[in-house]
Amino acid sequence: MIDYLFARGPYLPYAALVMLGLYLVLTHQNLFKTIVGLSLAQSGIILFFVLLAVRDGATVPILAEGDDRPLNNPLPHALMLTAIVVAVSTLGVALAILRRLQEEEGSIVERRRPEEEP
Amino acid sequence: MNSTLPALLFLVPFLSALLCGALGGYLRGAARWIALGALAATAALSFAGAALAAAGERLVTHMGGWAPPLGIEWRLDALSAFVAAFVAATALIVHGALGDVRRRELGEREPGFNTCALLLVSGLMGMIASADLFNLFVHLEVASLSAYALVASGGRGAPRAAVRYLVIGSLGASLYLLGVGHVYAATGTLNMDDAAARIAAGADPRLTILALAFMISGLAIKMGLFPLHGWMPGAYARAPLSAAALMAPLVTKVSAYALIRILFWVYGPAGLGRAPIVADLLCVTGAVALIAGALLAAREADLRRLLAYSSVSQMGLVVLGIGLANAAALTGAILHLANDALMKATLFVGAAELAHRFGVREVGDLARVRARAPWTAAAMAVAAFSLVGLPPLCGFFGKWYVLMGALESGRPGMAFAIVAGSLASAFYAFRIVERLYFARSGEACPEREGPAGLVAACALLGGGVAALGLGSDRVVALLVRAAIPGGV
Repeated sequence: MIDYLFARGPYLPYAALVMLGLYLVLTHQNLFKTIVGLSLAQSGIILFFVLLAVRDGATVPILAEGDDRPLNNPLPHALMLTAIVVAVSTLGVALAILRRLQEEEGSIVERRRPEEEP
Repeated sequence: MNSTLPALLFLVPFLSALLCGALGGYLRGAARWIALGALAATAALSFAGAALAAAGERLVTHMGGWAPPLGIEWRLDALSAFVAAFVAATALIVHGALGDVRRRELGEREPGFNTCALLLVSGLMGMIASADLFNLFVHLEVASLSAYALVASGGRGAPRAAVRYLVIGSLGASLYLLGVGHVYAATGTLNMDDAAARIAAGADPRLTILALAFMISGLAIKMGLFPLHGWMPGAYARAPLSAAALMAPLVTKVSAYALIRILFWVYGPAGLGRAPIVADLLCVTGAVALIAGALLAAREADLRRLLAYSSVSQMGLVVLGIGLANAAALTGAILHLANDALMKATLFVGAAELAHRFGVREVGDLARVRARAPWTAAAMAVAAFSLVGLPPLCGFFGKWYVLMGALESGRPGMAFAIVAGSLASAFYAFRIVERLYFARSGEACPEREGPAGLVAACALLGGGVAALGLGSDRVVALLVRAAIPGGV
């Protein structure tokens, strides 16, 4: 059990972030909180990729003379730069749409009555 | 063969989108022509690609000269060339046809709209031409973000529908990304061919199957697979008429293409064989979607919501074909992507014209326009008959091949579901035809159909539905058969 947690432990924050994000998305009527949940879930996935890059006893992937320690895998970091840009753009588009919603209807709360379906 | 063509399919609309956005504020007319020119160039390029693919060529671009698996590869083989050709052609016809509608709907916001439309097409083209799992994710998001913006630019109720689309769609994209992460963890590569080789050589099946589950769920959301279709009716009904007509025929089809690519090129029969439940699950979900989508469409009054549910049903057939995973069923699934794109383009362009000219948005009001819009009505009726699957229209052949596939693999239950789905489709499709031709019309609209370009495009698309049906054996022989992966 201890060994298992020690080996998988770093993945727990990833799972917690994604689950927390999904919980917010699924349970909240306030669309701003939904967007926050979405952002949290996306951050969790970014954390997952960053964890994939880690190797035991390795150091930052910058080549230096006379340093032959193993390096962490730099590729997931590069991928996540792109994913962060995508997440930020999603957030930006979402906030812009929420502003229009607020202007048009005076509220950003999701309605549950069927006659108000979009 | 090395060629820049696959990357150009993305770059031409993408760079034109930037140009269009930069110029739009000052030279609105020029920006309009740039958008149309870019779509025409993309269509020409994709037809050139399809001609080369039909001749057996396989075009690849290596970005920056880096060969895969290190570099990012773009590829145009028979499957992607076929999908690219119908996507680009549909986008060109729809965008060209709806110029007047767009001008009236959007006014001075038109340049921004054109920018988003070009970005949408560039994202779709990128998804089609990409041979790299992560690159596919980036293009999926380019297409999705522009789609959210296009929906939000509509009138009343559009922002709410757009937020819902954005939240559900982003969750889908995140699930796909998580799946890509698991593929990377299992194989250490993102290039599709390289990942395929390593999965076939026995990468950790716990990781690869989990990855497949994530990627399928993500793409299922994007393609509006029942019961994950909740975003679709609202988005297509509330988006501007011109945006719905551009998105509805294309977005879900390209996501289905991505699913086919991942299932049969990255995983292949060997990878799928390790988890036979995946294929069964796809079959059952597809069959349920086929019938449920048609029944949901039957009780819908709003024309565009009805058409959205019809897409749910047609995508069910595609997924059923994918799940059956034999040559005949897969032929049907791939062919039906083009069929549904063409049928939905016809109906959404027709719906846009009727709403623009006559203010008709409900199925029940269609009777008022019959005498005034003979060409539009005829084109829409042809597409509606094709949705049910009447021969010799194109919708029939998609269903026929999938049905043959179901019988070939000894699954009469699935064959029965296809027949039942067709019958259920008749409820909503014949309602459109009945309203257009047989219902008592009451007071007719005062105006006549038009503008001429829009009517011509609608008729052209309706003619395309018939032509693709009549020529379907040639299309299958030239392109689709070559697109079936080996070993299926």
